[in-house]
Amino acid sequence: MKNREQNSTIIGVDLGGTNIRSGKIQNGEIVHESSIRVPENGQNKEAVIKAIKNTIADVYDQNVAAIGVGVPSLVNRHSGIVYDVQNIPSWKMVNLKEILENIFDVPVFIDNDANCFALGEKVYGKGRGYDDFVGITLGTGFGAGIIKNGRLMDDANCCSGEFGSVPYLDKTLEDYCSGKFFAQNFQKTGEEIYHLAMQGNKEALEALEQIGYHIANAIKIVLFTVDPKLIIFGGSVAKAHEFFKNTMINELKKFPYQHVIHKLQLEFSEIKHSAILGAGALCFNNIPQFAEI
Amino acid sequence: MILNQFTNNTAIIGVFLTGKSLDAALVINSKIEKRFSKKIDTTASEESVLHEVISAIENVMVKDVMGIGIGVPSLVDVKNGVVYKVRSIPSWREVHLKDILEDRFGVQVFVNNDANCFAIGEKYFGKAQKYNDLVGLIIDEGLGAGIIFNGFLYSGANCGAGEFGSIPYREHDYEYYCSEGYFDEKYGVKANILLNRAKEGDKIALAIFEQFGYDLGNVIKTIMFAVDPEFLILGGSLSEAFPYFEKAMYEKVKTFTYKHALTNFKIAISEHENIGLLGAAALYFDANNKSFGSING
Repeated sequence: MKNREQNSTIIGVDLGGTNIRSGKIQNGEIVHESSIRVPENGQNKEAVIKAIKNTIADVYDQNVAAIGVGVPSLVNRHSGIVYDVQNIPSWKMVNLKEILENIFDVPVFIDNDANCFALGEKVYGKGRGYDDFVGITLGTGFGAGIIKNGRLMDDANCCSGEFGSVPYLDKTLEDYCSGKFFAQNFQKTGEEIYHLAMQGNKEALEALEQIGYHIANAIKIVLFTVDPKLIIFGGSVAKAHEFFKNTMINELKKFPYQHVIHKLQLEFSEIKHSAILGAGALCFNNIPQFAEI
Repeated sequence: MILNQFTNNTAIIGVFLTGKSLDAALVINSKIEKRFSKKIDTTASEESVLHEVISAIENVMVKDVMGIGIGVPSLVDVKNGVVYKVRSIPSWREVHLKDILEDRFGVQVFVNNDANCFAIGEKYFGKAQKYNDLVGLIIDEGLGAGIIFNGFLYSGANCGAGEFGSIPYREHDYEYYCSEGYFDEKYGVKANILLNRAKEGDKIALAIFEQFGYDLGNVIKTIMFAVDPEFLILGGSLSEAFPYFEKAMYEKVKTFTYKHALTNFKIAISEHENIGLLGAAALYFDANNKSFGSING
């Protein structure tokens, strides 16, 4: 088996609800990418497996040392079995690690997509040099991954950090802190709101101020539960942070323990293609001395 | 069972301070060899309460004690052993316990909050010995939680991890609905009286505990979403009402979004009356095993 070092060639696979994207990564750069729509709306288990296999094969070469796959679902990190995958109804239980290792003959690592985001920041982004932080994706949904002692929190089902599902007001945090908030209250996507805000549209600016308030409340819940000193935000909604940052910080001034807020560092991801890079970063999570690139 | 060089024959003193009483014990090989308990005057001055703690330790002290662990109901700076705004002891606003006790006794001192002591106590000496990822949830005057992750206490950057009680819920927060005071405030009945009525089959008391079970089920779901443990152990005075809220609690927990996660998740009730005290002693093992390396090799 080839050794994985920081200059190893690896493949990151992003199994999204709509598209499957595989990228070959060298030194933190995606040098070759292949993507395809999830076939048959995810109704056919084997067709989805075949599509993943094909996108990997497109970018695979003999220098590839390992493959990491990010999946929107519960995962048994050790066996590599994925359960009840979102938007792929035929995937109730798939032994993805075993299937891919049989085809490609390199180690395959599977994890939840939000965990991949956090790990991607640890290996390639603003989490470099930090051993304990939380990565939060504010996109069409709300996901989070917890980095503890320089690695992903080794939890029971890879579902720690599912703060998006925590009850909040009349719904859940996800309903107020992701693209869902704009869709439900302003009938617009996060992208549309962001562009309108840049043109000075009052309603869009108001919408972003409101989400800043709710994101601050999400941060308070993260502080109450896992108490990190660094939180890194990513995802499409986070791109608009210049418009919600002030209301967010003002609301954080109401947290009961202000010494915690003073120490808290908030960052916004600058990684492009974070889903593929984050999946690739799984290849380094299991290396005892973390390879930082 | 955790077997390592630190637990065998090592004499440790555990101290557990609650709003009502002060307990100190000499712990050797998981057994309490000597014990001191006292009700304390919680309105006394900082020095006076501190003096009580020191004399409790002196009462159980032997010459080969390796360390002292102390659990306090408060925010704690674990690294520096400082306790802040101790619940029920108004004079203890900022006490540098670690420095004071290390100067006095010349051994390593570890300070943590009461919920973390409960969790690490269950991990070392109680029902959680075979689990590495667990949450200990204390329901009494407040709602406190300790998180064990990879076999070690997880305290967070400010010892604020596990403050699930402060998460907004319904019109207040989880602690409001899931602690002793709620029964008095909402129904005008003390929790212990309500528990006795439930034992006698009083329908209203049973209905109140059923509602409590739903609220507790929701906080457990929130814990699952946040830290995804494989095991949760309940302790504190209200855990005695378990038979009366169990059904409602499970009903709520079973609505958890990820069905597969439920098959890996277990809930139990603490049955060890001294677990907080033993857990305070176990702070010594947690800290030393942490610096020694993984307990499971």
